[in-house]
Amino acid sequence: MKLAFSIFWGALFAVLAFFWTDSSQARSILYKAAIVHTMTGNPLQPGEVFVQDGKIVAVGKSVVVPSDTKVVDLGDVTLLPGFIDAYSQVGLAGGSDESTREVTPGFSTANVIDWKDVNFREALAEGTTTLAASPGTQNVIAGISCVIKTAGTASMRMIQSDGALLLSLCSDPAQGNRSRSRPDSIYIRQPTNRMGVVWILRSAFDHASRNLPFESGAMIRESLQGKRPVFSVSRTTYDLNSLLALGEEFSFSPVAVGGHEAYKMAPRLSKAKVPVILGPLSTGGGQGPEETEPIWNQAGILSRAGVELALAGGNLLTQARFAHRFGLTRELALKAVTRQPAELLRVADRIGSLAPGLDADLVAFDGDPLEFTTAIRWVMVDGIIYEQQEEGGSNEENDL
Amino acid sequence: MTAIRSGSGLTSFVGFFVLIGVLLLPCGAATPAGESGPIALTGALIHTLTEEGTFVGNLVVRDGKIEAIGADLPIPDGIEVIDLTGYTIVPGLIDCRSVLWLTKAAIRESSSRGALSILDGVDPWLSDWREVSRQGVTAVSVQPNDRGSLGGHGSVLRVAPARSVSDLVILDEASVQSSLGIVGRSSRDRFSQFERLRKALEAVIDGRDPGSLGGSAPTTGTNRSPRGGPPQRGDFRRGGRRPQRSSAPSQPDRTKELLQEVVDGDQPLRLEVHHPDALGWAISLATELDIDLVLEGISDPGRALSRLASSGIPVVVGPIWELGAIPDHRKKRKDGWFTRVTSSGSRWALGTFGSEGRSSRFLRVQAAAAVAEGAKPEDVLCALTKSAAEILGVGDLLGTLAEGKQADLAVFAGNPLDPATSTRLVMSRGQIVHESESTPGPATPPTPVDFPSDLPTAYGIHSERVLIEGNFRPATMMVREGRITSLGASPGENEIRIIDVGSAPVVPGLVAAHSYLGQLESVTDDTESDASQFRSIDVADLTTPETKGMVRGGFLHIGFAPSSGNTSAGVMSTLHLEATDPVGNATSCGKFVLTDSARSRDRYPSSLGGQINLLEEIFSGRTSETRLHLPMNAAALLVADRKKNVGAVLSGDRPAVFAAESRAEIGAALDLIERFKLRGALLGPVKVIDFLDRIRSLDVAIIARPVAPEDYDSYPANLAKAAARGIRVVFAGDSPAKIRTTAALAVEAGMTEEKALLGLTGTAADVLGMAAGTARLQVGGPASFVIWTDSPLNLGARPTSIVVEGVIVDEKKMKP
Repeated sequence: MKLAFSIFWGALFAVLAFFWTDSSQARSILYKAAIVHTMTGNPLQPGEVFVQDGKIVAVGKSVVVPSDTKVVDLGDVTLLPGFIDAYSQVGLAGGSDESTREVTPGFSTANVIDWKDVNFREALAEGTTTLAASPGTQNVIAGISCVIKTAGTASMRMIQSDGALLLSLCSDPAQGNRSRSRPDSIYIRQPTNRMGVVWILRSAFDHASRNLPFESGAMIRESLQGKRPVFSVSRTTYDLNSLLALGEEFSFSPVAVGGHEAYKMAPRLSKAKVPVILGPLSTGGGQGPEETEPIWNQAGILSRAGVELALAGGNLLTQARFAHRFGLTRELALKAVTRQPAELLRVADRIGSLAPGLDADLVAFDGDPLEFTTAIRWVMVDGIIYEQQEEGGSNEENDL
Repeated sequence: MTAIRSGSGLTSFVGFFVLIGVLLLPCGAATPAGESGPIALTGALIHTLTEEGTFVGNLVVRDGKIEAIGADLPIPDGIEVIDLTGYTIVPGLIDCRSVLWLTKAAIRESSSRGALSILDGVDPWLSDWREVSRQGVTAVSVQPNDRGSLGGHGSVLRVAPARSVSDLVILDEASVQSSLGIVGRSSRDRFSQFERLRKALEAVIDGRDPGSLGGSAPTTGTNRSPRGGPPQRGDFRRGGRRPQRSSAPSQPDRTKELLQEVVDGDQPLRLEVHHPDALGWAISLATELDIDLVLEGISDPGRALSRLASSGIPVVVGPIWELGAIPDHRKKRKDGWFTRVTSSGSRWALGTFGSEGRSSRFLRVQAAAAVAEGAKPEDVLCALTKSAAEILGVGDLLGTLAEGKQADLAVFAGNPLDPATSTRLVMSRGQIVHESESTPGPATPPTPVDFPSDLPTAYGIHSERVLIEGNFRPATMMVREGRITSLGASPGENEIRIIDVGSAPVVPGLVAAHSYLGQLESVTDDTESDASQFRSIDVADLTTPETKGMVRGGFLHIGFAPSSGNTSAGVMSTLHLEATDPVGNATSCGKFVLTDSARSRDRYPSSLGGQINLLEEIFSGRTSETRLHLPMNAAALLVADRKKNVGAVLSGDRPAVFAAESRAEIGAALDLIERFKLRGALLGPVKVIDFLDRIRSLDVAIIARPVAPEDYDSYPANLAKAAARGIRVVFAGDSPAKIRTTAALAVEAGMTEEKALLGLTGTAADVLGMAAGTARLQVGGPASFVIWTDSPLNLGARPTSIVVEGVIVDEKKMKP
């Protein structure tokens, strides 16, 4: 009796498995959804996304596809581009700073990624499909970030190994350095205060721009000339003012990262066309060594002043939801975690919106993405769907 | 997150089988464990450990007991029969000092109040028993932590699936735990602990209140009762408390009960001692007060050895090979302690003395170590079974295979004392708790052969097992003036003496591909992280105990390395120990370090990224100066030497050995090897599994560091997988035992013996750039070889004669 029962279930599953196998072998799939936020124009209601070999082939209200194409009707689902975290330390192994030196533009995070870091999985679970693994803030010129996918095979995941040049125009590099406080050691690290930070930056830029001999001088010069984005971690108004001043002095256009007090000088940032990567958005007390004062509606204030705005630093979905709740428009809140960071990282030709030729990185929501109770149904990276794991279950095959 | 690949059907295909597997599982497991019917095990070589001895025969198990056993035992009709022809059955192995089944808190816990019962710390839902069971272990002895001077009850537990603590218990109150000298280091500490114990026992004998023992607070752990009083017995009770025998004070203290039980002979006192003075006192205590004592530990029997022998006190010894972190009280163990203790004539059993539950799976590794130390295989088997059961007080149930005994047994595909032998089947109380497919191999334990103590200038050696290119073949090897002149099936020159060693293996000197020979301090320099100019050969000292230990252990060729403290560590060299010219290749490899051992916050670099940058600079010739304040000449020489050594690596003359353990480190090493087209090797790559394809395509070798207890499960298997892909795997380490353990475990995990043996010999010589013919038996090469009792992959084997360049190495010279 028991055996017969098992045979019945076995047969049933075999049939189901057959269909399942058949379906996922299709290399081209048309996804139909109630709403599709392409981030290139108004949302499509309803909308269709045609995915082939990990790329988006077509997006529209109604897409014409070959007759044998598999069609997946997602019903009430809202589709969005995968989220992009423009400033993250996820995946860095063996230290996020080379803290024995103050200026390390050659510190490339692309060299030190642990592709199986468990935090990638967490980022993926909340819809983040790409992040910029960035060096820490211990050094004045910290190094180069790299832009990577949070899932997929390691060789495919690197989008941009030469990402942004990271500066730390804040008090972090001066933390713990004391002039002559360690007479027992020949090792004295600079800078010892914030003036020192600006001094090191200014003289490094000066040496680099005048072609004076300086370690990695060429690379700094190219960055200032615009070869790659220049991100500066700056949180307070005085740090941001210094950043604007240096930008004018050496004619480069920086992107401010952190920017907790940027709202206090929104018009000036807007006028200087300095975008701000806010985050992590929170009001949990003062942040960083400067104890900056973030406020909930800073995203709204900045956007109303016309400052380009991205959200970063983990929990992107939650950040976007809070930013919207406290004054950022729906469209800008979504843009701040998708297309805007892609543009700031200069990878908008690969990711950040839904358009033909771009990577098939999608997030499927069961309803309004900015509503706090809406669940993520699945996340797609390069055409591969990652579903929320069932409780207690685990699948070796997809162990990130 | 679960992936569904639109691109490939593989995932779903696998998923299909998983589904079917899950579906069928309930059918397979329908018969509840433990209710299996009678089973006959037939045709196996049975070690009964009784007067019946060893024979090929049958064994019938019914109702959890051995119903019948015998050479020509008829098998009753209608009974399940498992044909075990060619396999070996032994009584279930017993680990006399384990922490299996204990929760993490319970492993730490100890007390000087005696109120602990170890059963209160037992969690029957822990799953590490499976790994232990897989090694043929069916019973373990657990007790409170060894820091207490009177720590409470220890118990004997099964190694089997359990639903409750009572399922596990073989003997609840098996012994009373105590120790001398685990806490405190001085002789005075030990003596005061001993005096407290003696006075308490004397008081109980005289009917007085023994008072409190050794302070009121628990020494470690969290066993303080929330009520503020002494720790109480917890949940496990087998039907009430026994009546108190001594006069009860207002607050019951089980210490007195415990002592009374010891004095009455109800259960033995298990006393851990390490120092000879404590051992002497312990023996006096047992004889004067006439109490049952079981000693354990014993790092140095010293002067007390003869008294130990005549006292008849049994001992639990271990661990013979330290596989994990060594606790302080075992750090000063002297070489040869094991042989001295066990050859004294005392009854002895083995304990793994592990720090975590799964440590008990090393019991057979310890048994092999005992054999390698010179113990007779039959004595070691007895120690694991019969002696262990008797010492633990469960001799009536366990330890032998005889009618009426509990059906706890293990079936091996060969010699049970070789950890590389796989386990065919394990039975606990008649229930099969582990079963696997395996092909039976030779079951005979190795025996030493006679070999002359002096050799002429020309001679031949014949063996049925000469190791030639990773395979054992019958051959006669002719030696003249230290060189091998011929190697073939028949002797070439008739007038020359041929020594026939029968089936004893003749093996080339083994290779430790990376070792410090115990000279870590002299190969360490921390001035600058670019130490490319340093050559390890310049500090090689071949008189250290570690060097002699390598020779004694059959390792004649060493990759001698500078320490891993610098990112560019310096030049490795190869040594041919005991040879007339021990320097093999003075500049064999460049060593580079990406692990965190070369990161320092006080000098560049402090991060992996910095290490990579530094190596990029070094390899692209961008480091032209030193940061040290040196006289101009010295600085110029330093820089020139660095360039020369790095240049030899870049040109491919010398291989580049990269120390890399984590995934990011391994990836970075491979990037550098690829980018600068180096002849690469990875040292100690633990998380290697994702990189096998790249390692194969870059033709990078793996120098495996010794297996550590925490990566026992994955690391040997990864090495086996690497070897199966055609990657050269060779072995590193500072002790012969650990290197061989790693190789043997890799074989157990699926590496072919041929590849493992080559990794210990010829392949390692190739990877390190040793001279042609090194670590190989080949015509024209040096006659440096070792006669073993069995294959070096059998951890129970040991070298009996060591020959370097045709001459026998004087054993006395090699003594520590």
